[in-house]
Amino acid sequence: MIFEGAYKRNERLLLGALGLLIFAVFWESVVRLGYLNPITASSPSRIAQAFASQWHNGAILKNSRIFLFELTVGFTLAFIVGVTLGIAMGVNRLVEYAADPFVWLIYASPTIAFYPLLMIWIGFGSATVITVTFLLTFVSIVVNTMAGVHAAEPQMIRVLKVFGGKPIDIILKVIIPASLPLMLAGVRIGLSRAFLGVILGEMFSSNAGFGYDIAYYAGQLQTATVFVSIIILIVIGTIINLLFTAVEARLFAWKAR
Amino acid sequence: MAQLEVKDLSLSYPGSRSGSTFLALDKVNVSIEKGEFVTIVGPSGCGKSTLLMLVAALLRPTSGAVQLNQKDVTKPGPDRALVFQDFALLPWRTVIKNVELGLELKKVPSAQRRKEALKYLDMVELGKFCNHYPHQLSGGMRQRVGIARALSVDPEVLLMDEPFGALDAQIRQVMGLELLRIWERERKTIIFVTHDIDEAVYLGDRVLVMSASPGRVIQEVKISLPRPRDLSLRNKAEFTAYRETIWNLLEKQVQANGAWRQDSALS
Ligand SMILES: Nc1ncnc2c1ncn2[C@@H]1O[C@H](COP(=O)(O)OP(=O)(O)OP(=O)(O)O)[C@@H](O)[C@H]1O
Ligand SMILES: [Mg+2]
Repeated sequence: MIFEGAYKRNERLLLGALGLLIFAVFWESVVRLGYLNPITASSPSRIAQAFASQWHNGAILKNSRIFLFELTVGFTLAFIVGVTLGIAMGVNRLVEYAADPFVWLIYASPTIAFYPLLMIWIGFGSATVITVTFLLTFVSIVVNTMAGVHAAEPQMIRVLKVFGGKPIDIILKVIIPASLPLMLAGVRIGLSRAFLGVILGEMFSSNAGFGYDIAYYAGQLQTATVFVSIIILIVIGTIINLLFTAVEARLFAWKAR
Repeated sequence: MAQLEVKDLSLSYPGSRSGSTFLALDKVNVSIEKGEFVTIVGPSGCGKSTLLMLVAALLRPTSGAVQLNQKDVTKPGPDRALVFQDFALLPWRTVIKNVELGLELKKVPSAQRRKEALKYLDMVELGKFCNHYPHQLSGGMRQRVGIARALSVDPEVLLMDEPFGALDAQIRQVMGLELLRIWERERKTIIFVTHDIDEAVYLGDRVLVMSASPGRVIQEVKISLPRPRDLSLRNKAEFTAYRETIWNLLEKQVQANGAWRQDSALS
């Protein structure tokens, strides 16, 4: 009876875990039975071993630190610039017209293709990774923030005016809260692009980090070690996503469901 | 000297075709004394909301002027609080935070703000709902939040755009009485738009009857019923006579133009 209740509450989680477990067992079996080449396909037990050795030599912690540092700096800069510029463009037509071409140029351009140039300009390492992360991230935040500002209802702005609100009050008390849902949708897209930006950056223009390790160990055909990095990136991504969802749930308690 | 003067006020909206304009108000003149309770009736679409928005200075007149205490009104301010026809609550704020908005903008400290807001919420019998969000309230409850919000800033002139439009007949009467009580105590100037002729007579010192679009004031009916008023008034012969007069004035306008609202045609 007690178990039944506990099961019901965690059904989703338990069934999901069961599915993963079956997949891992299947993977291990086909490799052990000789249907797949263990060197290229790796296997759960090999990944576990690689994980242990990567943990002991400190690579996991070091790479996580580098990854989170680059992601945080690149994303935070993109967030600050993106939200500020998005609001300015949404509120003021002149700013919008002036900044529009740049935003769309960056949006439309294959940012990754700039890596070699950025390496020439900025050099090898974190600074370049952060720059690309910034470029990839901030446009989606700008574009969505601007759309959010345009979604603020004129009637709400009138309310602020009637009660003597100044332009700054209108921005703080109407425009920002009204644009928040779209703004956060942009931030979510921005985050996933930032994630990609950091990994690609580390692959191309760095000598450390998960991205670098993935490229390096793949070159050495050490697929198990590659999988270790990928799995840790998945875990970090999942945690960030959960945090984000929790923040959204708090911010949007006012929304009718 | 009148407190509020509306002088030859006209307003044209941009029309449906580019370059064309639509005349919504045509040389409206009104003069209102301090502490007066003026009600406005008129066919739907005749420009009642437009007139209130001009007094609130949310719109700029095409010609003419609005003067408060002999000074031209050029920008909105809490001395003229507006109760919006569509409530216009901020959906991301709780009920009490919505009422606090005007006080916040007047830089009232937060503890006092809360106290004031609660006082007015109690007045409209929504004290229990202070932590709800607007989407959790009925239309009538939202409208009462809008009324509390306008009262809380202690305006000189209270502009009310069909503030009881979303209420059922019963609460409507209770709120009417409540508003009269507040008005008798605080002696604010009130401009009250309604499509309910009974309400207009029952509440007002004066009823302004507006023409069909483009809106003009075609007649002012002075209501000399004794105050304080209560519901028994509705059965008095004088009351019925006022209602009759206004009804006849309006009927001509409706025939001239089009629809008068269904619900008031029945009342
Ligand atoms: N923003 C606008 N642009 C163009 N025309 C408008 C605008 N707002 C109102 N109008 C027109 O002006 C006229 C007056 O509108 P208003 O809202 O003041 O009427 P009202 O008397 O308040 O009507 P109701 O009793 O239905 O609320 C209407 O014919 C309407 O179509
Ligand atoms: Mg109206």
